[in-house]
Amino acid sequence: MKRTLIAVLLIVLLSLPLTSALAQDGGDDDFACPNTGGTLVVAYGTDPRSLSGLYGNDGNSLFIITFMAEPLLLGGENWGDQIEPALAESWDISEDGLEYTFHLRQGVKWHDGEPFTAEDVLFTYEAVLLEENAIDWRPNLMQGDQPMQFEVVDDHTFKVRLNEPDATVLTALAIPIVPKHAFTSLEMLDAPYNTSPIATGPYKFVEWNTGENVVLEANQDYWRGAPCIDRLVVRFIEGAANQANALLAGELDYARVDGADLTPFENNPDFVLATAPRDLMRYVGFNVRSPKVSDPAVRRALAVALDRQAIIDAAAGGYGTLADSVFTSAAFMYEPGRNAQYPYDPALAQQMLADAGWTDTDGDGIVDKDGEKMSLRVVYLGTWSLMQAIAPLVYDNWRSIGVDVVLDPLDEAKSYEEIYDNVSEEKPYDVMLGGWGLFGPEPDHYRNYLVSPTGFFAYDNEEVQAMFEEGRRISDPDARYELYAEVDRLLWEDLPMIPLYQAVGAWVYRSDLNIDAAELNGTFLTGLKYPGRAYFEG
Amino acid sequence: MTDAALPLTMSEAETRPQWQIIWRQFRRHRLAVASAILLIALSLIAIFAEQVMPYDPNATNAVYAGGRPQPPTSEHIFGTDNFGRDYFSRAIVGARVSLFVAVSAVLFQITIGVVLGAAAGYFGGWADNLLMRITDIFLSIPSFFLLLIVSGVLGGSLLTLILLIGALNWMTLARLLRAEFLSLKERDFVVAAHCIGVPGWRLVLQHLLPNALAPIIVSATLSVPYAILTESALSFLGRGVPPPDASLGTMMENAQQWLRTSWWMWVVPGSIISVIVLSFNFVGDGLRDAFDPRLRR
Repeated sequence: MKRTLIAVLLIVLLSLPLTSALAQDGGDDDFACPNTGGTLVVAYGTDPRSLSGLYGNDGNSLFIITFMAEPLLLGGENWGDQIEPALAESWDISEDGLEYTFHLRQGVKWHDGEPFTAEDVLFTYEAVLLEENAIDWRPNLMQGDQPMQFEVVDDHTFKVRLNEPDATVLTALAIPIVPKHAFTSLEMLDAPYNTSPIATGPYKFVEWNTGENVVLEANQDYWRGAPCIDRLVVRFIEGAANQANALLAGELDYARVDGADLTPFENNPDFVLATAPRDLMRYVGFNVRSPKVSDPAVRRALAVALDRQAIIDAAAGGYGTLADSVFTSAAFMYEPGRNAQYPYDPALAQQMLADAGWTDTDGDGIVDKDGEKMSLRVVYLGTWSLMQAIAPLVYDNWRSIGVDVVLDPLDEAKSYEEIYDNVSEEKPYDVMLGGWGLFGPEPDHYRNYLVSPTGFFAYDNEEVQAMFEEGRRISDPDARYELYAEVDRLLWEDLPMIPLYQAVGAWVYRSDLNIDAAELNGTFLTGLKYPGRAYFEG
Repeated sequence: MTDAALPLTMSEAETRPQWQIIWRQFRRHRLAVASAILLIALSLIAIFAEQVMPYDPNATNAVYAGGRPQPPTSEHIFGTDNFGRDYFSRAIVGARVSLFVAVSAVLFQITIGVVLGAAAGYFGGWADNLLMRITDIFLSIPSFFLLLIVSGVLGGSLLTLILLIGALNWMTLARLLRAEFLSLKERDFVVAAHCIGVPGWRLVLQHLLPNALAPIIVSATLSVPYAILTESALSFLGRGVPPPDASLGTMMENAQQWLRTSWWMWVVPGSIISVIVLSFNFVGDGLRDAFDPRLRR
């Protein structure tokens, strides 16, 4: 009752321009804009596929959607590295782990002024479950063949009932909520909403100029408090180098810049350069079924043969952290130093290969075993400049321990055929180079990619699969921590893929832009946890 | 029969001073001679690359480079790229690959051009018509885009590059040769040879082709720069020589990201491409002048 009163008061107060300091009270902590106004110009690759939070799961769309839309809670893919309340203020879990009750934030308004209620949440999840909508989030809400059960208790209480306990349900539910009243039916494949969205986030949609930009403006009724900056323009500029140039030319205020292009910003009084670890891992993946690399000892030897620091320097301009886990640091059980590092040591690598039975018996410089030469076909997406930078080093590092490497850069179509869309257990390569991320704190999100027999690595390890299975069933956080710590250790030992490095993002912005309170966080695609709290210093 | 051919071999002997005249003429073109010498030197370097290269062109040196291209020093006279690979060694290998691809492609395209052009010119009639329509069709294809597409489908390798560049550039020569044959066919010595029963293949090989050598040589020389530029352009677009091997085009591609900070990354491959292309053009010019009797004094 008291809470409702405060919320009502807040809504009244929000409409008064002078009370913005008080208005922030709806957020997690107090924040008052030291300065308001201005236009923030940021950039991302190209036109989004969709502006609906349910369809836009490519980088171009997600980037813009992150400024506008919100899920019930943070911590899902692209939504940070912590499970935290957002549109849901809190939640209770029943004893048997089958019922999740969400207490929704009161007084939240959609960008068109309508109140946000549990009906919207139900509508969103039902739309996701509707197969004709072809929404990629659908597996999140399925348990095997059975969908989760949803129920609206009252306007601000929402219940999720599971068929079996699943500890990953919180991050699975972290899907941007869409307003029921903006749709005529559950079918939304061609809904006008997809190009003119209404959401609850700090910025609201104004216009989308195809090929040019998307313009957003401050949501003065935002529950965390009105954003300090009035307008936000997302320009479409492809390539980090071009974005860096635009930043230098003063056409952008804020951008993530790649290592190679950072030189003009270092020690430059006009710009601030800030770094934060990103939820992205670059890796060398094995086709575990390939007889040449099916032995974990061989995979470990190949890991020791890689000068991964050199790869960080060459591929990322030094902006990366040497990986010591197959998970990124965003995973909740990640702990630096848990696993012993594979040090770069070519001599040791050669010894390890020899111990595994691979020696150069015919003197041609290539190690062999049982008459078969260690010749590895390494595939990667050839148009991805990052992979172009990693490949020559992998080639040279492995060649110097007597492993013949055939680099095969694939074009987009071929890479889908051989790697990304290849759901067969037979992979046409021995090794693939890749990068992935935005999995958030929940290690279960790695499961389909990392330990599935049809995943990139054709990795069929029943022990690890059983552990992932168990990880879903138990809900006790400590027990889960122990379990996944063990998974972490096991995978580091068995090495279906060699994690190279976790990317460290470098964000460059005008020196009069202050993003301290907006919290630079590399696990968000935008790099900002609270974009509404960025402001220009007067 | 063989006796009848005897006086015709005399004409071959007569051509010998002809070659001397051409050589004398060619020598007058100073730029062409200098270019020819340069090209011979480059070819020698390319052939003996293994002996000339100071480093393994694919060997990285991460500690030295630290992720950034390193400027020229006395140890790395052309500097290194961002992986610490010696740029001089890569330039040599790159020039070798580019020259090899270009020369092979031109040999291939000359073979096609000569066979089709000669057949069309010699047989005339419906064969001529058919072959020239095929030539027209090939001429109407925007060859660079076709190159891009086909190399994308087949994947980049030296052989596909050579075959592709060759297969898409024989048309000019075929037309040239057809015209040459048509006019040669009417000449007295050919008519005479025909009358005394010289077989067709011999007529073509011994009488017609040697007299059409000039346009073939000139066209070949002038095609090499085009082939080099095509190879570079394809490699630049990532459709050429597969990594980690260098070609001049892939070196240019890698240089893209370092244009601002590391001039040697693009100056080295860029100037080698320009030098080779210019040299071939000069030599081609010189040859054309030397072969052209109207320019002779």
